[in-house]
Amino acid sequence: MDGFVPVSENLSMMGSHNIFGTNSQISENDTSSQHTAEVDGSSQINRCMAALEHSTIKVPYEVLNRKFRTAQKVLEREVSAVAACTSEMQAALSGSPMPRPQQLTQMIRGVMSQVSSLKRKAREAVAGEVECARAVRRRIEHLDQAGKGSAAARAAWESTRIDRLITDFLLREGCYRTAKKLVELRNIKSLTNLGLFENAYEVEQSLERRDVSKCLAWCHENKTKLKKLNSSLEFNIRIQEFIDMIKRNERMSAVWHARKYFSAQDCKQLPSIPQCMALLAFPADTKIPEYQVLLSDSRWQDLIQQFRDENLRLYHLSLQATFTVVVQAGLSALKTPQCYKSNKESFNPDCPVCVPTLNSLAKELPYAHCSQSRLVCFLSGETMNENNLPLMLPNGYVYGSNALEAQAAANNGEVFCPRSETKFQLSDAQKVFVM
Amino acid sequence: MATDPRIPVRNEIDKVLDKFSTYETTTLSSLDNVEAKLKELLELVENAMPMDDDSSNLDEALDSEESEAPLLSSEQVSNIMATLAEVKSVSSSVSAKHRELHSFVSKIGKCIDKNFETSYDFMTHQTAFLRDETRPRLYEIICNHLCREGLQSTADQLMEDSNMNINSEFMTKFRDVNAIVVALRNGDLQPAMKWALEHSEKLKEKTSSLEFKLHRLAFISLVAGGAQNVTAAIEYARDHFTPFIPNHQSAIQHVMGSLVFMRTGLQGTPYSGLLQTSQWDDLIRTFTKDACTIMGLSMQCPLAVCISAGCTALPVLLNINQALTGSQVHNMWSAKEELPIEIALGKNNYYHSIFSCPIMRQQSTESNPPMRLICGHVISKDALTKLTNANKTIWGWASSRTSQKDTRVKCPYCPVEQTPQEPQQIIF
Ligand SMILES: [Zn+2]
Ligand SMILES: [Zn+2]
Repeated sequence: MDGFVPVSENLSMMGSHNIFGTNSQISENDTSSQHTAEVDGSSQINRCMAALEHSTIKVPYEVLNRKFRTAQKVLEREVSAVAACTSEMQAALSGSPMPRPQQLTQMIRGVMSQVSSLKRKAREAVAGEVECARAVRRRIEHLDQAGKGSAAARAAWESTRIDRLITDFLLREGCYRTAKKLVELRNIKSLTNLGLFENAYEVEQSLERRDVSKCLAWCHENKTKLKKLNSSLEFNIRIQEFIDMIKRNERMSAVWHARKYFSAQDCKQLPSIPQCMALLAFPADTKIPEYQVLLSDSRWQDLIQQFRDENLRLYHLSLQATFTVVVQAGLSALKTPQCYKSNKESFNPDCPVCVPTLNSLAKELPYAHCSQSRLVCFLSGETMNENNLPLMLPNGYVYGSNALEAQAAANNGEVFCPRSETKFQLSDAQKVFVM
Repeated sequence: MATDPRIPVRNEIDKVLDKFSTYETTTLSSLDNVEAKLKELLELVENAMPMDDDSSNLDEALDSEESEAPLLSSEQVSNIMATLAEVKSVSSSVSAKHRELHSFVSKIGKCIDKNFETSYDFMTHQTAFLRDETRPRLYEIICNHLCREGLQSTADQLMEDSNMNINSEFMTKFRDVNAIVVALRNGDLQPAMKWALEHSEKLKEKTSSLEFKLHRLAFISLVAGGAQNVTAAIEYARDHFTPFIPNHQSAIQHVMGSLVFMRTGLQGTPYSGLLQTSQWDDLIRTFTKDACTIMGLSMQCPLAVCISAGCTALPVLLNINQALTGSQVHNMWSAKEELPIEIALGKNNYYHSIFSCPIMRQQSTESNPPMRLICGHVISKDALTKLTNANKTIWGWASSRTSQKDTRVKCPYCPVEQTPQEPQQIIF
């Protein structure tokens, strides 16, 4: 039975997920904490961190970076105010006649108040920056707890990870209220990027109501960064305004609008301008497909989607949610041809890929790779190996000897094959050797 | 051995925190010195002013300005000028030194990008996982997960936010299950009793101990209530324990023994264990397990299992992705293929048998099933065909009259020979 090479176990990452969080059934893995296993475990955790947690830390870092830039601007403004009144006083002192004492004291008080304002603003700024840096550090500290402590603590950490992944996904999908609810119920606000999406949600909501003002304000706020990203969002919003004017039959305003906003746009966006301008010549209910597209409501959904993407790019977030990526990878790693057998006889309610919803999601994903046979008893779920020999019933179905022998002992040597719904004598079963 | 990506990032953060603290204690504190000097100057000028510093005289004083001699000596003036120069240089260092901190701040960002995976672009190659027609399923899975976690209100909110009406049977079922669990958490056995009664047929079928455990806890609760409950407890036992005598005789004897201590209380007796919250946890576990089985659901949340598997698989896939070319990456995500690498999930996460032919090194499929040779060794159907054909070409010319049924196939693992018809298809 050399065929049964034990596949290495991942000790720490595969915790048990009981429903309702009852910390039951500490799996057998927990008792076997040999040294090698721990090394493997931490290496595994490290790889997992690197693969999954970029946005967990990058977003608060971007917040820190922004805070820094704002602080720098504030300081420079304050410093130049100090410099201005100081220079004024220097000029007065080196000129003639000498300023009178009253004027001097006034000037000194002026400098003093600028200096103390600079001091106050600088301390505020630094406190804000330090708080932001600490926020990044707190996320790292949370990540440090992975795989540490009791089985219950590890299971709790993993459960929080699922909450974090779902929250991130919901926020990206625009389901802000759901995310907020989850975050509040689980008390994980400091671990999620909920705050970042609060403003984004407002912008999306206003776009949903066909109101562009909030989105334009957002564009203005992030002007420099959006320019760097070559964003066409503002341009598309302006086009939408133009289109809406046409829809309302305000053609003159549309022309003015076009003159004001379309001339300044960069060249790569120009091709769409003539097409838009041509709209002026058609009735608002035109049947020409390419113009219908411009006039259709789906353009608003496109704008929302573009806004979402730009918001993510602004914070250097991957456009794909970690959640979907992880679910895909997990489904593939679990997917076997048995989950898709036409007669459904191998259906296993414990197998995620066999669950109907996940089954249809996994349809287009690749199967797990398996170079060595691994046999699981259909009756008991136990591994079939030299301690639980696979036995073939006369109809070709194979079950583990442990389960069959237990059945036979309770039923006068009779065993039942649930997949063919037939009874056999255990004595008719034959050994199967898998290399 | 993968290095810990958290350590370098934490180090960079600590460096920045350290720099900020130095900035505060040196640069910002130098502003305090400057302020002190300005205060001295103010005093100096105020002291040099004439005593009749009455505001009513101000206009008069201004009028006679030109005739007055300077109140400050040239030494004092240059002193003021020096202080002002210092104010300028110190304050400009406040912004200059702050700007210098930027390189340390941006190092954190670079360090994060270097040590953590920045994008999952390779995943976008594959047929879109998140499409309009697949999105509702993903939402449904999240809803189901939230329900399992007892977060119904969040699940409801998701349906509202997504404008989807995921009115799955699952959610209704779980609503009931959750309500029962919440009741059990609050020490209320009644809803669980009611449920057990409704499903008692099925519970019996799978020899569940749920009903017994429920009655035992109800009984113990009576006993724990003290001496005034003696009659009630005995009556309860008579009414409810009888059907369980065949399967739980010794447990019933044990629990009845607790009546002896009714006067003194169960604390410190062999029965104190029956009062612990772990008994309730055990009951909740038994209940949810039975409820899931009866509903045909898994005990573990499929999404949680899937994410757990994904967390193991993703690093491996990212790693192998770097070694593949563009078209290979593309192929990797095709439904016809297998992942390019085996991902060890641990045997608790294997739910199906997979037979991989030891000769062809291929997983079996419906058209290429495993075949058991008469000696018990298993090879794939394709391998068997190959062996048969190979024997035909070797022996075929030697005795052209040898009919198909005389062809013998030798097991590749032992000396047993057989006709190609003898091996039997098996199903794991
Ligand atoms: Zn399956
Ligand atoms: Zn053999």
